[in-house]
Amino acid sequence: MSPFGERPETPRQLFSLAVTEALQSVDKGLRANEIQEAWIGCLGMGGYQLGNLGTLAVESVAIPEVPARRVENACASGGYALRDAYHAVAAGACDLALAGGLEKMNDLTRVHQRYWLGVSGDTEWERTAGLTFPGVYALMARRHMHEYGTTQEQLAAVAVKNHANGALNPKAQFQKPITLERVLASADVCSPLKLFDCCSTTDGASALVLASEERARRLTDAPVWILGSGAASDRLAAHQRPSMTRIDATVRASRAAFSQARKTLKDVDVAEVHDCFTIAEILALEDLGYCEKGQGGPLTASGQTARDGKTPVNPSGGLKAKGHPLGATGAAQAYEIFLQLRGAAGPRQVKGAQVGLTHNVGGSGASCAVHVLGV
Amino acid sequence: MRTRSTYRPRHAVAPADIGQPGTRGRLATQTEVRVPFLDEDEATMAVEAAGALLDAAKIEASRLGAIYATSRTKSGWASTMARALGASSIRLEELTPEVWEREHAGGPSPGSVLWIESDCPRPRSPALEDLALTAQAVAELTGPAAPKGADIHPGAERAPLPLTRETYDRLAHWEARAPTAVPMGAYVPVATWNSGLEARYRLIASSCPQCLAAEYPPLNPCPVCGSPTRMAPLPRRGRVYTYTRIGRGGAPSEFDPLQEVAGEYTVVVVEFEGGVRVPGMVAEATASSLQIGQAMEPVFRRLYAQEGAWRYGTKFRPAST
Repeated sequence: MSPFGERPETPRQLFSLAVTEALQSVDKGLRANEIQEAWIGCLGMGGYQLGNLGTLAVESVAIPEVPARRVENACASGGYALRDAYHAVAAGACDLALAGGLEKMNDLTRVHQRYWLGVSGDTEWERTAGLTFPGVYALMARRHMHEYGTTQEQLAAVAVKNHANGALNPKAQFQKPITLERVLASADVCSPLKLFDCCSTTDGASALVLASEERARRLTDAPVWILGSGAASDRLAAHQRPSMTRIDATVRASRAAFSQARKTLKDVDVAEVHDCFTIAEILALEDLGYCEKGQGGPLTASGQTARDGKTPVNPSGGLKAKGHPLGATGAAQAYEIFLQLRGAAGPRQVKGAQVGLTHNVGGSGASCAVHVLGV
Repeated sequence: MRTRSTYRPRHAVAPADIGQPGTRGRLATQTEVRVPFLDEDEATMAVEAAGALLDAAKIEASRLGAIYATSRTKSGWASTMARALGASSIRLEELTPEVWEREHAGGPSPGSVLWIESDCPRPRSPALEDLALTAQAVAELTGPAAPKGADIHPGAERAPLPLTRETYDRLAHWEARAPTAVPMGAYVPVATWNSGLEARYRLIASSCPQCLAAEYPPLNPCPVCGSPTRMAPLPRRGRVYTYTRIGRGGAPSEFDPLQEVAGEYTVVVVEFEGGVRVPGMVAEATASSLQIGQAMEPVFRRLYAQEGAWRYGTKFRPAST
């Protein structure tokens, strides 16, 4: 992946950085022109290149003739790009694929950014009620506090944990730990979510090389396998779902991924989950099965999901500290798990990680892609 | 501080002239007299006055014989009001002296008639000494089905907002900010917006007689079982399911003008019997006074301006007991 943050690079340069690193990570060597097809997650970069974004991406690494397409499911774009590429390779349509993502938003005005960030909910009925992305999650957070007694401090604990992890990630947007007090003292963006409960606006790109089993064994002695892929959709508007404190798309997608992988959550050593807001990580812990519904806050406060805890979650810093370039996040989560399962995560390494999970959500839960990876 | 004078509309027929004793049918009146909130205008005030009147008289707007409307503002507010009441197909005419004469000259009765006058003056310049800012909507019902005047309680007068330089300036600033450009991002185009007005103005929901699933906005056929659904407005009362106060930076850009003038606003999700939930902005209350489970009622208000026109919809305020 490229560094994440407010980046000076152009979209093409960002993507090129990510692909270059991906190719270099192939032990026996791989050149760009061996890639047969590409899937690129991207929301649209404020409209900069809505049409034929796929071609822009492959052009940036000098392979303009490779078939490519933009994959879009809001913040789950990258996870779906990974899934689609995986299906193509598994079906034998190609044996070397590129799956990744790209987003650049910090060159837009704040007004333009907010318009663009507001495109992933129900435009006609949520947006016109005065809601954008943080507003909808704030409604979910308030209801969760009402139904389960989740506290402001438990929300803040997610941010503290992830910033502590981000401090060890040289590619993270934010590389400084923060205190609980700092989070609680920050201004409300949409109550009860405060400034530090919300992920920031991030530029960045990610890229993964996928290979068929036979090809993978020729490229490396330490492959990381995709054991299972699951995905699900749900009602576009959060208030139209049966519950506003559960993301059913997460429940369904993870069940499908575990079922295909023949694994359960107990087998997972490390996970990258979708913490666009602190409440989102709490919901993810519950909906993936780390704890009972409503217990995500206490679970976080207990330290179990810390880097050195029993079930580490978001060792990369998560979307909160690492950053959330919308289209790139899904593949960047898999990038972190790849490093973890190869023992290459440096100071962030979760010891002995053999099975990993990525959890990528679109909007407030309208789409979700979950992958189980293993060595 | 200025003295407040009662607003006198400068059009042909004064409220006191409407429905004089001796005209056919009986009389009923409701009035709202106050300084408007930022999200009110002649259309929203007329909807509130006429809506309360029709509710009290137990007359459906769709059964009216005619609607006569008058105002200093020529903005199409009356047809917006008619649509919000569910009376789009009822004959709607501007109330002029000629129309008034014609209606009082005898001849066949058109049935129940709604007479509505609504004015919501806005400051146009900093020199405001001579402009009274009391807004007023007067609704009267005549005809054989209209109950006696004595049977109807007049609408409660709201306590006016303090009339200060700041209040006038805020109103003027809000009016001036209505954007005309088409935004470069998520937005609802005019045609799509218009196709949703019945649902948006009157909270028309669908319910399935087969599997009992309810949907808002309404869907036909039922998304669960595929049977034909029935359309009906949601009840006039729901409960707070959840809410949030939206700070600067948390709002869709369409609401920037509102935030610049009025600061933070609150959004609520109201749950109705049957499980349907509707999100909407909160009117006349703030997040700090809301509680989950509290009763809320829908009100017709301005939402935001786009492509040169104000867009209206349903907001929610704490239900009057």
